[in-house]
Amino acid sequence: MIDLSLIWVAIIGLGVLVYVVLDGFDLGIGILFPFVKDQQERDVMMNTVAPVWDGNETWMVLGGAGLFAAFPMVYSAVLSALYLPIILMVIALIFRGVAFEFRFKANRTKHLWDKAFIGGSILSSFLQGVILGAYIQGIKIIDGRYAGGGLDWLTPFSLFTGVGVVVVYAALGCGWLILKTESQLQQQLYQLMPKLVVALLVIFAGVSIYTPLAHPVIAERWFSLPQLFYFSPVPILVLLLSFLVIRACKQRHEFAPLMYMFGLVFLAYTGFLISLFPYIIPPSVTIWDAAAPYQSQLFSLIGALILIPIIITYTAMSYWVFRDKVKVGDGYH
Amino acid sequence: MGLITYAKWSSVAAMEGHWETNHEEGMPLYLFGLPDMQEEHTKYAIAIPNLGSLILTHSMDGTVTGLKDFAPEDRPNSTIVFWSFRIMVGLGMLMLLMAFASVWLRKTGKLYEQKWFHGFALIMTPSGFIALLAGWFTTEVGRQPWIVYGIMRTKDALSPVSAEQVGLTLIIFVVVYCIVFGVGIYYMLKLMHKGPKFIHSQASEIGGVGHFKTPMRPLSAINESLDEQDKGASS
Repeated sequence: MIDLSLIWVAIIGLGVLVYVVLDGFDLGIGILFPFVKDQQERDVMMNTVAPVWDGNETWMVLGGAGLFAAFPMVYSAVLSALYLPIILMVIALIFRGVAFEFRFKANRTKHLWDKAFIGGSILSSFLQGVILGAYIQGIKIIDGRYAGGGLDWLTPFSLFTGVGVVVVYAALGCGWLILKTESQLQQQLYQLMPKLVVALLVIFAGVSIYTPLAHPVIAERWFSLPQLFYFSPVPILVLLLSFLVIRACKQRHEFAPLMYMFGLVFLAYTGFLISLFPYIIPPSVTIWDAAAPYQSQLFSLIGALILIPIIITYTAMSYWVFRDKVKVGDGYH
Repeated sequence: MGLITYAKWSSVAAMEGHWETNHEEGMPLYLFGLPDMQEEHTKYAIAIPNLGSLILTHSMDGTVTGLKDFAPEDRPNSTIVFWSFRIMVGLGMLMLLMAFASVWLRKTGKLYEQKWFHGFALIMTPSGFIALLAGWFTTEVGRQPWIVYGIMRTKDALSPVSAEQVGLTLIIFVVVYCIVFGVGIYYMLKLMHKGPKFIHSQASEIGGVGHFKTPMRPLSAINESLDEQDKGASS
């Protein structure tokens, strides 16, 4: 029998990565809003993602639905453990989502929808980071059920990873906007990007130091031989890519900063997976402990294999149709 | 064919206010009535003989399991689902009536003149929402006390999240929905107040974001600003 659990982990893992990369840059635009005061430039920023942002969020739904189908125990235990941050994140996404609708229609109240967009973007990014941190820290499971308290997720570490994800998304958004804008706004973003990359490195360093110190199992995985040789390129590549992002901004490349940022996120994500595998709920539940019955996984896999190519196709098409730069005046009115 | 299995479900018995399993005679269809959970009887019933059996079993006197065949603790609340189901179905009938009336009025050339019909259409505006919610109540209340029919009770399926947290987030959702839907309805009424804008007043071949040939969500499809006095300043 094929190990469907592994296939499902790969699908969910890919879905989450694509979500982080895509929704990361469009959430990042909300985070960068405070740095740009001009209303017309803000219109341009929002319009760069207006056709694609809700499609980007499809991938979070795919990840969640995949968990529900293939690892229902993880779905029930992790969502219970992280109930408050997840619900608050959804609330923040509601405000951000309606801001896209209402901001272009309002005039007198436009500043309110600016605030809803900024607040919703920052809060939902921050809470995604909190969720990530709480997950890395571990979730207490007894007999397949969540056995911790309602506020176990709230720790200095999870707040720190919350700030981290805000910075990562801001840098992704900055890379996206450099690609999609021009003239004064683009110049301003070229200036901003290196600062974001430095902040991001500080955060990566913090997480990389804290995690192995707090979790001996993870330390052993990274620092024992021969793994050290396989994994040591990860931090070196992170430094290299950071340098490349900054250099690309200095040389005013338009496409490269975003691509190098994608590379950085991919590396961070790879590091995250190396630290975790084979646990799906750290520190105690493995992928196979949490797997749904073989038939359930097979049944839902057939659906996923039909749907995922369709999602990829229409996503690619919408990015292709809207591939041009967005100019001032391309607004809604 | 699929309906035959429904005839054994507690939720169907509750929806129909059907208490005694019928064996010899057919089950009537109660148009209206008031199912009473204590007296185990549907009061003030107006019924059409045999129609219940016909709908649920496709035969004039097919057997449909009554609520009394289920233990009292296994019965859904018939008073609620009997009525939520009838509200849904009734509104559906009114929607059909409106559709047929509009076709007839159009055929006779009176669609734009008949005031009563315009008033009727206006009153029917929220009917979709109400029918949908009534149907949802029918499903969710009707399947109680089970979350997986006959296997797992709702009370055994509770997550370990505390009632305080669930209550808190419920309040947040209610407040947020009131804000978002309130603002949305306000904007829509404002747009309606401005009335329609005629097509010839705008160029039709403009491309680019926010114009034609781009994705438009409901409010964005109207290519005009909401605040008349600020219009010049913003464009």
